[in-house]
Amino acid sequence: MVKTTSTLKDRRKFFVDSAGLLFLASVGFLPNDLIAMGDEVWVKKWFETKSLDDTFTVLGVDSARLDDRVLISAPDTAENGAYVGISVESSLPRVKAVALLIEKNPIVLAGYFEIQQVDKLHLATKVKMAESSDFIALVKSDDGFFMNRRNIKVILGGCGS
Amino acid sequence: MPKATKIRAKAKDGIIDFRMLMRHDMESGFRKDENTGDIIPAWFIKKFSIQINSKKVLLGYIGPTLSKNPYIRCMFKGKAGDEIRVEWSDSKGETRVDKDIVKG
Repeated sequence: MVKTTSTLKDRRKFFVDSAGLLFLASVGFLPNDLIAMGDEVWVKKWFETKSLDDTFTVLGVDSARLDDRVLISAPDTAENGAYVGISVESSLPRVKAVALLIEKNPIVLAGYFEIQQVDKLHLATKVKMAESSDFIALVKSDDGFFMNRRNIKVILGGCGS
Repeated sequence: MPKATKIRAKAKDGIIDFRMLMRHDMESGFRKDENTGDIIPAWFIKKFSIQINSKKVLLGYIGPTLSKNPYIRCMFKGKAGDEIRVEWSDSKGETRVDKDIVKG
């Protein structure tokens, strides 16, 4: 936009163009595509803890009650630790977030999911497991933190893969 | 260029059954090269988001211990025809955006 012989018309055009751009931005057309992820930050220290207690501390969890309303579906025995399918369901009202933790993994936290527009929580994914361990699902709701745990036996460790 | 995310979303009785597969190696940083014995550095998706009709419904912060080609299934409120937009970014700054429509 830098021109040595910029006329009034040129400058005016630039002004109008940028105004149009700003308008598009303000109504959410343009940069929405670019900045949708920009405001949230992946927190490094969440993924550096080696014990369950430390992980709860960095996640800001004072206490989490064991609650059967957090339902874990997982295999009792996993042949391959590289793909362990797990699923968390909950009938707790107003669930805000779910954290998946594997106690004996070199990185305890597998994932932290902030969630909206759900009726009843139902989230499933696949994780790597280094060895047999407890799997812990931590659910954040308006009423506080709730969790449940389940032991999964792993035959072939999966963190080396 | 990262590969496209596979998205399957079906609505029934006001609930969307959403499934997706993000294609990524999810290198854990614990694995060793078979020939040299050097540790292969970690390279993984750090965060992803799912939007339905431009509203963010799920935001995931994940570490390298999610499996290779991370699979996510989740139930949301919604209907057929809703627009889905999935995006992720990894630890090297690569990103991928994919869109789909909820089927009936």
